[in-house]
Amino acid sequence: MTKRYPGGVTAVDGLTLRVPQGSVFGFLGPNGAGKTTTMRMLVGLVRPTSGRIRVLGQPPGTPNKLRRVGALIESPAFYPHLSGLDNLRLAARYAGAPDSAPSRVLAEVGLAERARSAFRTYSLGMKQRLGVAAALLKEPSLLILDEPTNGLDPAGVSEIRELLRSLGRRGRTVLLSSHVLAEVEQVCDRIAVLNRGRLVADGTADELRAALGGGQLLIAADPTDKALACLRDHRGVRAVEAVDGTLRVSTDPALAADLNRTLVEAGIDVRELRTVRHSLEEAFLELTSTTGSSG
Amino acid sequence: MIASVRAAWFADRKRPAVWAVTVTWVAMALAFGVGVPYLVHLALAGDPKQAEDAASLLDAVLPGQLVPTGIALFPLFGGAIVVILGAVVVGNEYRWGTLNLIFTQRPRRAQVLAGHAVALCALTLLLVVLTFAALAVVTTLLALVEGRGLDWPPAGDLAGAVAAAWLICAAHASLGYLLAIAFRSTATAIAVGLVWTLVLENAISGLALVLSPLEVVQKLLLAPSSGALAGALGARSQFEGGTPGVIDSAGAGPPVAVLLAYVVLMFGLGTWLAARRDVG
Repeated sequence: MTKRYPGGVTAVDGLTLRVPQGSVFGFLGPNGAGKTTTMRMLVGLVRPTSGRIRVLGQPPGTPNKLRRVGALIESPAFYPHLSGLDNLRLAARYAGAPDSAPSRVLAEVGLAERARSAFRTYSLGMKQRLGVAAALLKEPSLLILDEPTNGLDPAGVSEIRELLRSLGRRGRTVLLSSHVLAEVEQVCDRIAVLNRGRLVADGTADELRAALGGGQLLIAADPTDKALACLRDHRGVRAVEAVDGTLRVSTDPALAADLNRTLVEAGIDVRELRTVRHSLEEAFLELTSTTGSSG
Repeated sequence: MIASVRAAWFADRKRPAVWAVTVTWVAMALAFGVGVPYLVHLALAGDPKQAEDAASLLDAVLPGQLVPTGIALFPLFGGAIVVILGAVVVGNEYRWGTLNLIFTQRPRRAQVLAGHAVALCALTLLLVVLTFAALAVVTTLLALVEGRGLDWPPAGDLAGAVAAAWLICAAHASLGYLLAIAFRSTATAIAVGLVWTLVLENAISGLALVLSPLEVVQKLLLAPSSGALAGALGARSQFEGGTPGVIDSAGAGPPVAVLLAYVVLMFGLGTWLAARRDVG
């Protein structure tokens, strides 16, 4: 799918994405990468300039399919003069959800005590919780959540993460965008990385890290200069550098045992050998820096 | 569709701005429709030379003149207020971003917007009924104070006046509705709507007095059609010393047709526009 706005701005550029049913799917990308526009297209708020979208097998925005989709797109938008409960009652009327649904979801997101307060009096975190509650109203098969933990305190973040995990365990499909890489890593089964409207990577967190070249081995060995020379010539080693008496070896971590044997057979004492995996943050920065950030 | 109407009504009747506009309008209607004429009557009553004018002013604020007194208020003043009401009800959906919430629920966009249009028509009917009810109470009190009989207009005439006032309001509300959708803004819609009804249409009406080809155009305009409908129901025109905005009219048919066309076209165009554009 592609979305080009009048004036020539291309928010999403030839994006092809498949979200497996029953997965918690993470959507990563710097600001302006096209995450929110993609999510808007998935719920039918924005129409693609070209391309084809199917949500639960139907074009987005189809009433019968919307009934099975819950969404929180960008910031939570509600009537400021209505209470949280009344806002959800209103949404439930449009959605055809049962009268009991608003109270149920307010309890689920921990907002029952402030249910009758006006939305305008809510803190940012409470507004965010209400947005998640509205997305849960229809007991949807697919949840589309754009930065759902924005503004939440640590306890709130933890609660929402646990809620997302439990939704995943119950077989719901969740599409989650976030700037918090640890959150995505902890919650999501698969991750797609967007940059400037294009998909730059798609896979599990391990697969994304592996895409950077597998990581590094840290080796402490004596004598260091002999170990350095020995490793340089070893097959599968891309680079070796000595830092504070420790060797940093860029290679596939699966070669650790082989390298250890080579050093020992060369008469070198190996005091320590451990794998250093790339963090998801490093993977994210690497993947999004190749084409630059649009801000 | 019924669910959309119920939901829109639920949201609209709890908007503080809706009640602020309604209360402001009813207060204005009482002040300009009854209060000011009665005060002028009191001022003239002591002067024998002005006795005829004073009596005429008193008659206008008694229950017997409820139909012309009430309907005369709507073409200019009521219309402008209701343009604001239409713009507030729909424009705030854009301002607050609540269309994002509503459009990701179940109904089609056209159903959501049609629900708002129906709820807006219900609000304007409520506003008209409240206006006539308030006028009825105050004119009754004045009749009692002045020791005059309670000579009520026939129920059919009163119902006709309420229906005509509602049609005028619905047409003006539909203009506010369309402008709010077109500009995705409350403030711009109010500004453009007021300039349109109070300035542009009045300028064309003024020019039509000297440029006869513009008479045809004038008959298709919102405010002049509203004024003609009020005139057809007995309200005195501005040229006869009546209320600004009221126009002499041979019959109610043509202005009713024009106003109905406004209601259908403006609500229809606004709904079509909102349904086909991106929401962001």
